[in-house]
Amino acid sequence: MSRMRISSSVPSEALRQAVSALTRAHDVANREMASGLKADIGVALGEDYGRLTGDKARLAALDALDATDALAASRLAATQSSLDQMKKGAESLRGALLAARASPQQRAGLVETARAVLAQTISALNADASGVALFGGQRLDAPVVAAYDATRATGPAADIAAAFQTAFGVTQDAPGVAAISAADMRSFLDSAFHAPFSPPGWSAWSRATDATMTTTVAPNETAQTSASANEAGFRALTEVATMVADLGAAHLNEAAFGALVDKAISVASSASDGLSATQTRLGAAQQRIADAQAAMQATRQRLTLDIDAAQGVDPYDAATRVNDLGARLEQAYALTTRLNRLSLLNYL
Amino acid sequence: MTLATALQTTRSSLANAAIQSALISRNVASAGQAGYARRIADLVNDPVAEGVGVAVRRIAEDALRNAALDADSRAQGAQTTLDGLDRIDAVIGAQSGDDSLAALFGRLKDSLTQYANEPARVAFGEAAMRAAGGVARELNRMSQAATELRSGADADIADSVANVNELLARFKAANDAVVGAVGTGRNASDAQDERDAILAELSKEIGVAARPQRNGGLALYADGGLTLFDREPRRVEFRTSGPLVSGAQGASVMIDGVDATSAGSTMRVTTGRIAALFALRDEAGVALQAQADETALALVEGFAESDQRAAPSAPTLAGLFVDRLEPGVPAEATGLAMRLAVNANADPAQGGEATRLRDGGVSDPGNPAYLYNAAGVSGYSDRLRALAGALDAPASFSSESGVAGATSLADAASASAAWLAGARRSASADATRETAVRDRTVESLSNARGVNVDEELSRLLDVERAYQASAKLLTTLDDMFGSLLQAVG
Repeated sequence: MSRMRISSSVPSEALRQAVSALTRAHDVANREMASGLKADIGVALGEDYGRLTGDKARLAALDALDATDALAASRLAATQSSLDQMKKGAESLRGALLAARASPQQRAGLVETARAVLAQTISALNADASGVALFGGQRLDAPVVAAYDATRATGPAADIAAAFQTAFGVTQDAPGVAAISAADMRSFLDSAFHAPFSPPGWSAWSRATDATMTTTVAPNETAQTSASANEAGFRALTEVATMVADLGAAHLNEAAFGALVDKAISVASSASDGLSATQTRLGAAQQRIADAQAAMQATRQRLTLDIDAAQGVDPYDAATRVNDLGARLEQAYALTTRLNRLSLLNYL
Repeated sequence: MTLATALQTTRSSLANAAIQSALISRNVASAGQAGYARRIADLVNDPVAEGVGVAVRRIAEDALRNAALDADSRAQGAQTTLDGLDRIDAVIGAQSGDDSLAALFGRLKDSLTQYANEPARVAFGEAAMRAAGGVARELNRMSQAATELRSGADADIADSVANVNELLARFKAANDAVVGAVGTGRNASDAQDERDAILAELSKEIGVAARPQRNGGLALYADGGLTLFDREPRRVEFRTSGPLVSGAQGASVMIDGVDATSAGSTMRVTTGRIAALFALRDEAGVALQAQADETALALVEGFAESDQRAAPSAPTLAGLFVDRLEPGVPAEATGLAMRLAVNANADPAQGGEATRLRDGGVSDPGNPAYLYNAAGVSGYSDRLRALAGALDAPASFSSESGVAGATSLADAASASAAWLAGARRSASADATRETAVRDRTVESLSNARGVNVDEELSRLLDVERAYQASAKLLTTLDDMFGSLLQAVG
């Protein structure tokens, strides 16, 4: 049996190693206490580090989506208020039409109202929110809809004037307008006049695309978040306003005027319906954005907690370790001096 | 027995005391010297001198020494691996903070999604281009760091091999001295100390097994079984390979003309610094280069632009991410990460237009074939959404890269970070464990053969007593001789 012996260099060597290990651990604990983060996150997490980077990327993605969701939401709110304005125009025009059918002497007032509604509709359709056109579909640069030229020299106004001339052989302002029969007026309104307000012809009015803007409101979730001036409600509203404003309503005979008003009332109600449909669709998109933002907020809180748990250190734990390691270092120093005294040399 | 014999024995006892105290002082003087094996004076009967002689014995503890050599070799290897991975990590890993590849991929995807949501805001496009530039630079840097890791390891191997050859030459001198001393019956202790010290140095570089030979010499074998030294040092050869860019293969260490380090070698060295450097050069470094290259290729492919006309006839061209050297989509990944760049046509910093990201035509701006936004509207976002999706699209990675399980580009960036962190974690655990084992083994070796000053001092007291007794004997004998002479005279 061999006797346990110890070489003189071992105790001091062991202490040296202990002191250097303690100093390193002390340094790590100090840094962790100061920063609140693990000193070497890669070594601490190992293969799990990928999940941390994944979580961080997901969090950043949610922040990014939240920013564009806010932009889309404000654009949709602006679109809704433009729609409200147009809807009010449509209602007032319809009211004026119903009044004019009852008492024909309100004709002049009706034409004025229609002119105002037309101008207001065109300006509303050309509205933008910080530079992005609201009703352009995917064409985001204003103006989306052509202005109605009062002199009828250019644009849709010129086209309508030409169609009127072709159909009746007179201009809209000529006294000869009074000779137009109700039947002729009805057929003009259904065909030649209607053409520019239905899809292929509408391009003379509108530069908008049918496709609307797609927004990724949440990861893997998209919503259509803009309106297009090509939608039925806008076309009908423009049609009815133009019909009343610029087909010589002032000079038409009773029967033709009655035909025009009847047609106008039906188009005006379909305009109101169309505008409501658009508002409903955009309202649904607004709701989806709000829901997505709320859901993402919850996810963000969870991700933030996960990330903190993965990379953070408990400050109390770190502080305790700093104290503990400091105390052990002092013990090691004390032992070193003790050991130096502990030699037979001192007693011989 | 005569008085003269007693005198003779006393004299030899005095001489022994001198030898013993010399040994003790030698032991005490060398107490702090690492690797010193203490000497012990054994008293033996000396029939020739009719007295007691001294035999000097060195406490060699060869079994413990061999264990310590092995432990040191493993600890050295583990530390070398950890150091190499730490250097890489400082450039591209967890320590490099928010500019990690995974974070940059996230930023690229986020800004593409934001630009898709707000296609009229070119600022988002410019942000996407900045993120893309960051991704390209990070991949350049990753490939560069991997190349430096491999080339650095290659140069370190050359240094190690030169050191091994020098140590083997010194080992021959020390071993010859031991063999000579043993052959002529002289004390071989100092030469053995020297030989053990060289062995300790050698085992840091390469795992060594020492086998005693009949003449007192040692034969050395590398841990794969190849002979390093048997009476003569064997040739250890290595030729550096210059910069080890991806795809470049480094040379092997040849011991006595046999490959000692390549993966296929049956006599492969597995411990020590050299083996660790080879693992860094041929495994970790190659995996990193492969990760960077394959990610770069998947990027170029994912962002490539194809002919959008009804009857496509033009070739698919590299879009946002390009190979600096050739315009097309490269056929293979090797070395691509080093050459990856963003296309100047879309980069506002280089005079390009970020809107081309949205509209297409990044590859060839004038060519209508690559125009995705045929209507020319500023709200077109399908292409941007497809590009953001490209980062999540299924992609496959080779097993060589260590991220074979990754399913998409974004996933691969995370998997790559996890791969490095995992490698560092296990290297760190290995280094801690192997160092602790080494420290304990060295401690046991030191305990077994090192010097305990107290023990030596107490032994010195014994010697002093013996000396005093001998001196007393001598005076007594002298008195007896004196009495005898007086009686006779």
